Amino acid sequence: MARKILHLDLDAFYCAVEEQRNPGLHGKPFAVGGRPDQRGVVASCSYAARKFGVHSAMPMAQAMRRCPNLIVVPGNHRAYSRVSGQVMARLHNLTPLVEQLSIDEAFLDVSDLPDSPENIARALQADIRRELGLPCSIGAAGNKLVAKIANNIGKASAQVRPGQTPNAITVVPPGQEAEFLAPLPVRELWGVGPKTAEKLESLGLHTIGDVAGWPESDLIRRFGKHGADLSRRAKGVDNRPVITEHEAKSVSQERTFATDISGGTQLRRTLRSLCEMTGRRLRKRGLSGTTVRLKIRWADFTTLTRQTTLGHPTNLDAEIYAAALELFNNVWPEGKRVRLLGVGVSHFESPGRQLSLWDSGPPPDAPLQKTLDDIRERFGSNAVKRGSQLEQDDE
Amino acid sequence: MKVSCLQENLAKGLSIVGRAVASRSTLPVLSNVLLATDGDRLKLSANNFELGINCWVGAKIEQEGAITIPARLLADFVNSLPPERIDMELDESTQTLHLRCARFESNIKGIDAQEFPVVASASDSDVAIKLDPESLRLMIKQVVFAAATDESRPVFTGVLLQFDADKLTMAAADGFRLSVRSAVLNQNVADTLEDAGLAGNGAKAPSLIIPARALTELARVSGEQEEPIDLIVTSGRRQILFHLQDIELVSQLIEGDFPDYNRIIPKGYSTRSVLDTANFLKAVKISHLFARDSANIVRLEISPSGDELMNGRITLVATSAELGDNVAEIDASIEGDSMEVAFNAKYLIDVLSIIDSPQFALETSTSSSPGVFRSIGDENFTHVIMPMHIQTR
Amino acid sequence: MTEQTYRVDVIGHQWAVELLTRQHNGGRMPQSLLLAGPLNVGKATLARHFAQLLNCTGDGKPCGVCRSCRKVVSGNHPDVRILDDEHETLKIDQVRDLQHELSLSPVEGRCRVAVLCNFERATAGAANALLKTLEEPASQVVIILTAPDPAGLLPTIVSRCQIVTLRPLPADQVQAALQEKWGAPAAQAELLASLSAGRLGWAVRALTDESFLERRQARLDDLRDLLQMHRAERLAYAQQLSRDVLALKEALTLWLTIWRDVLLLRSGSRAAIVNHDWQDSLQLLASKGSVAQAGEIVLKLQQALLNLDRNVNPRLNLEVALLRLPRYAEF
Repeated sequence: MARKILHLDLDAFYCAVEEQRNPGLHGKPFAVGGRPDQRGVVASCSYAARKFGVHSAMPMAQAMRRCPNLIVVPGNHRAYSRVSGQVMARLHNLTPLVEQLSIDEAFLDVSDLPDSPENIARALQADIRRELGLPCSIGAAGNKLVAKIANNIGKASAQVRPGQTPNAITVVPPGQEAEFLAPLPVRELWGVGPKTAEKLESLGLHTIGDVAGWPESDLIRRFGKHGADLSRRAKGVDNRPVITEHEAKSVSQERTFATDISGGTQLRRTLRSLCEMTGRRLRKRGLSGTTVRLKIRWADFTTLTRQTTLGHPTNLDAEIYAAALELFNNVWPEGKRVRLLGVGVSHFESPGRQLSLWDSGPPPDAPLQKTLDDIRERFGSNAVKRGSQLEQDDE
Repeated sequence: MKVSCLQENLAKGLSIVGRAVASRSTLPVLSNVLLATDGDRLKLSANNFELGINCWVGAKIEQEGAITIPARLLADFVNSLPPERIDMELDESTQTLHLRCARFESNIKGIDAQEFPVVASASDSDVAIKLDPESLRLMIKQVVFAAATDESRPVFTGVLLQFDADKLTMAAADGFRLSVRSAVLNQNVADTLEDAGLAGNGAKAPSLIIPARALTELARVSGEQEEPIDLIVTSGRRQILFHLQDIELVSQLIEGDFPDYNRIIPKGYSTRSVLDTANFLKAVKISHLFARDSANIVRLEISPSGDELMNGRITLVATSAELGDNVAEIDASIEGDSMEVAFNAKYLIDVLSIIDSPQFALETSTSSSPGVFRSIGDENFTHVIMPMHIQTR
Repeated sequence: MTEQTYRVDVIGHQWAVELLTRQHNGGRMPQSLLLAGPLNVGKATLARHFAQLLNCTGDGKPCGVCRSCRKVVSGNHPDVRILDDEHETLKIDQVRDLQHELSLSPVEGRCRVAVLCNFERATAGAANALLKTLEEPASQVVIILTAPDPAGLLPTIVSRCQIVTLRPLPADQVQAALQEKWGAPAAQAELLASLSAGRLGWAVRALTDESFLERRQARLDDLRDLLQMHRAERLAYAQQLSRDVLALKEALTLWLTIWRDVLLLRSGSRAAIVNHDWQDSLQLLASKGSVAQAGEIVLKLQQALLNLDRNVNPRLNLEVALLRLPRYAEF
């Protein structure tokens, strides 16, 4: 069955939030980020500013040169994460299958909804606009890869009028993934960084279609395992599921019985072994969780989950079992037939944290630094484009 | 240079200066040890620009002179010689030292002594503060271990020395613990401090930060010495010099401000437990075996008896995913509220190992505020450990 | 006989020397300094000059005669650490060792000086580690970084330094220095000065490294050949040249000046070109290609040089650059 995957991206998110906080900014060129005299960098900029060639990751001073009337707004991350939370909550209203990629970006798996992807996307976009006053763009396709690329392309090609945002909706119908990708430059492809792109280009492979048409065996020979991925992705194939937060952040084990079980001894023995497996996996990953969840599926296929919170994070078999057993004893009427039993631990925390004697946290700009480094990692050539040249070009 | 001395003396001298030999350096001469005649003794020097040690050994000097010799090679060679007389003679033209002992003979190529950076030495005009060696060694033992080993905050790799009238205080800390010990000097240094290059800074007591390693070495080389040790600050407040019998140890100082540690020593407590040091140390060591793979956490459940005449108890709980768990109960005289607090077992072992009174007091307030350790019968020692935070909901 | 001086003299950049000397004398010497400017323009020399000045014990600082000044030059000064490797990456362990030294009181001098040349070769970890020291340097510490372009460094590093940007020297200044200080014959000095693009360090290297000009000529010949090669031949050449990263860097740097000249010729500014000895070929190239094309090649070559510093595979890197060159049947 074809899947229906949406990729949602809030348009100029930080700027949109700032406009809500200060409507006077509407339609004006402004940028969120550090002040130019402190060598700040543009974290996000309004579409009016983009007309002047301002883009994110650009030094604010340079942005000011390109756009002398640029209004610089200091970031307010608390506000952004609050609004982001509201957006994600709306997505969860639509489907539980939401994979949040960043503060302003998420995948949704809406395969279960009867409506067409385009209609779902329109309704969602309108809903977020109406309820939260935020613009967003959505890409829809049969998998995550194509949905995201579709959204990128849709956003980039949207004609944005002054004071407006892209509000793009780009749908790639099932079966047309490869055709859609073919004319795009290889760099658009997931997993193709500047290095791989240059290597591909040196083979004369400039578009994704070129890569798709190139023998897979040769790509594997040149790029190893990555070559196989490249070839598959270039053809628009991507089977990765939408991973919800819940799954990513819990460790669980379950067992379906060959025949339904009604014996307490056997059920408890199974429960204990599930707890031990869970504990082992937790320890292997160096995790401890505070929430223990029990899942029971009865003979009629109805499923029930119950969870409990411990006083402290654990990865100990005995503690997990004690909690799971208590839940089990509370929900299992003696003699009722059970088809499946599962145990999960979530809400990970480190088993204990050494408190600091001197109340000195990391330097205040450590998170900012990380963000900057990440930006440079991604946009390296732009951010440091004037490298070891012989003479400095004055702009 | 023509010198003879006993193998034991030379071997001991080389082992004393050996710790100041540079292990890797851009300057080859720093991996050498300087041998120089000095009156009727032979002076050995090593210097790595952080720590320098001079050591004098008894010798028969027939002809004066000086040379630097690769320290490792010389020490290894001398250590393998029989305990007899060693004759050394320098061939000036080739800068080669000829050594002869019993039936062993060798020639070792050296580097001109002129190239060796001078290790500062005490002179008669220096103003010295006299320290009792016994109490100095105790201070070092009780403080140095708390200094940080990583360089992220350089001042924490050092030990703070503070002078206040007739009192000397040493303090060392890393991010999670603090050790402070003071000692009464047998002289009031208030007037001599300025002459000694140790003027105070406004209201702040005169202070220095010495690399922890230098103090560890000082304790080591001071050995059994019973005569007072002279502390001298070299001109320009550049180095600190400890003058011992036949030995001088010179260290660079660490620059920077040591944070005000008094600020983090709690002024009060809600629970005070008095425990037997040895018993408690033993219990913590056992708990540590079980705490190793869970971040060294040992939980202390402190339960007063509620009856003045009865002992309370502290229960130590450590759990290991793979090994199982361990619960130990220790009797304690406890005043105040019952409470629970978790510490890093390693930090507990560190402090309990250097408390030399039979009993100690643990003062606690909440599970997230520092625990204070004091020696019973010795008010001059204070140790603070920050607890581990255990999530409770 | 006059006493030999070991003073590190800065040729040109007088304003920078004066600025820093004034700040030093006024007790306002910055504790963190970033010297920016083209390769071999004199950044490291200026840094050494200041390392001497800061700890000089003689008159007319830096005197170049006192023990301290001499030790700075010989690399034996215990308080002055100069990390001037050109090509190796600067690793976090080196920064950690340095930080330990910087935390100690000076052994002989007034202050501890660290000179980190070509700081763009620092790994992210090394740069972040240094940040700590730049944020709260102990009072006796001066850190001098050099880099071609501040934009190539972490912004947080740059923002904590006073930046002094050195410009290329006028050709006559380079020529005069070559004749007076290095005893070069006038004709040779003139040629090297004009080829140096204002970078005295380059000119001195060309003067003192006998095979330098030969290598240059060989790379120019190579370029001529490359322009006539088809793809497979270029790839073979790339494979050959990329075996020696230093040679590769030298070649890319040279070719970059060539295409800059082409760009300048094409846009009509004949005066600023540096490769006078190749003028005919430059003219030819300029007549065959567009401004946009020359500009594109300049960008590609710059990118290739930058990539070399970032440990991009040298062969792939060179291949990409070479494939951008136009192909002419006759050249």
